[in-house]
Amino acid sequence: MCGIVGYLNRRGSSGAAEVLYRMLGFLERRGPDAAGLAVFGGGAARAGWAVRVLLSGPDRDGDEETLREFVRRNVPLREVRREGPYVVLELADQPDWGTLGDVVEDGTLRGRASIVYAGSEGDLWKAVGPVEGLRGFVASRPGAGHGIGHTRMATESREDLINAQPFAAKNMPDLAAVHNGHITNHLEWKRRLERRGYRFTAESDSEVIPACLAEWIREGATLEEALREALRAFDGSFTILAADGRSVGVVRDRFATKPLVIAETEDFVAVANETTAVAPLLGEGVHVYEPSAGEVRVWSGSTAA
Amino acid sequence: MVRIDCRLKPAVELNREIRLAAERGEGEVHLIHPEGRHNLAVGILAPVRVVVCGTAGYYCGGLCDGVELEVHGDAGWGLGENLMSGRIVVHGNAGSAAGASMRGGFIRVEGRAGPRAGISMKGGVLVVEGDVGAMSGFMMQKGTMIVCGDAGEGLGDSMYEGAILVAGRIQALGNDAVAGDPEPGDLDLIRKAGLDPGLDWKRVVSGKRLWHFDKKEWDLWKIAL
Repeated sequence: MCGIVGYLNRRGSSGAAEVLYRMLGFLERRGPDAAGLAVFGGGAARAGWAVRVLLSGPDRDGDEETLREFVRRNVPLREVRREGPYVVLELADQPDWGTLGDVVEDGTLRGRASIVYAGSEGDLWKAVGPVEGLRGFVASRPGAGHGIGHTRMATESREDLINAQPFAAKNMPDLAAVHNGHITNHLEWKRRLERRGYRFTAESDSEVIPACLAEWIREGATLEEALREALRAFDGSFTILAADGRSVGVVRDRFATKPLVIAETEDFVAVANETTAVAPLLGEGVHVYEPSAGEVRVWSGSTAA
Repeated sequence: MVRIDCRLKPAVELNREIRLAAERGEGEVHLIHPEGRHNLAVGILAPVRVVVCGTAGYYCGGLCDGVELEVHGDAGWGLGENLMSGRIVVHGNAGSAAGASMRGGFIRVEGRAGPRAGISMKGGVLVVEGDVGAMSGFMMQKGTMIVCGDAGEGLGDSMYEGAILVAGRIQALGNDAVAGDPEPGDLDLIRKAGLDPGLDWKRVVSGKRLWHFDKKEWDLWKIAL
């Protein structure tokens, strides 16, 4: 199961977080264990670079202090703030993402700190339990123009925050993905990327998706090409939605095992794995369609206006 | 005419109400505000006319016998699954597996259909006026699928019997599917469906090489795998 949604406002940067939140509400029964959103553009964009860190150890306050000190010594910091279960590090400049990862995840806090989002053009929030847990985040991001969301039905990893989706890339800013299905060769890819210095802090198969996409994009692929590469690289069943600062993209496995519907108008693009989530957006004469197997689509444009 | 608001009841109750309306001799039932809900008009075994006033979710019109169903919007996957007899018209697109395992009756999708349209068809006629996705007509056993647009890869894979008529481009035929010219009866059927017999129709049928599969026939293994 799991519910996945994507939305892109073609008329400029606004309203996407609220629309995605409402869409997710219809898919809560597909995934009551956790919900999450990654939104981009407009109000989601920050003045500078920021990293959202999840502390999962028993002594959050102590770990936050350690993190603060440790990061300050290694990376120029502007501000450190607590937001719910997360600690947000506002950075003075774009960091070296490798160094930052080493500092946050591989230092004293190894096993207790995870980077859940890094970048300047978007932000991400996930909460255990129903979609309602995203309410505050959604209200604080009215200007977001596009994004993706997920409701989770846990299958192979624990029902906790670290394993909830979306997952974001840690080796590249502003890239997140949500996934419905199972990547059966994820361990193979995790091992391959770990040899290149990438750290995985969750146990979910889906965590490997944004890491791989980022790796292929770093090697020169566009988001669309990276999604096409996913068809060759991943085994199993998957409908994946990915988003970066400009675009929302989708790839469906070669057997189209997981459902997906797309509604596309001059004003917006909405995708979900159940029609119920997009139906309220449909005006007179607007149709939804199901893409074929192995299809890749990418839409851009919310931040252009 | 009976109107049922889909927002107010679960699908089990909606379908029970349709059945009761049919028993009372109501000629027509309108399902209003469907908003993509699943399992609408499922298991209707009477010749009642059902109109879905909007877009339906999964399995719309499944397990029906004799129904006359019209969808004013799109339908999700599993449209008209196992239809025994009757008529289903969708004024929009259909998701995966439209007309899956249908045994009789007539289904018409005015837009496009997703992957696996007409999978395991056992009779009847399925018309898709737009394109169909990959693996359409997979393991088809009887009946006719008519596709006015293009067909995705793996068309008619491992089909036993029946025929697929395609006017557009066939991306790739499936295992043991063979394309040829339409027969006179096909053109009559196309005409009867209100479609243009003058289009570039191809008839896809089983090559029947997989009918008597011998595990020692290595060439066939290559086809099958």
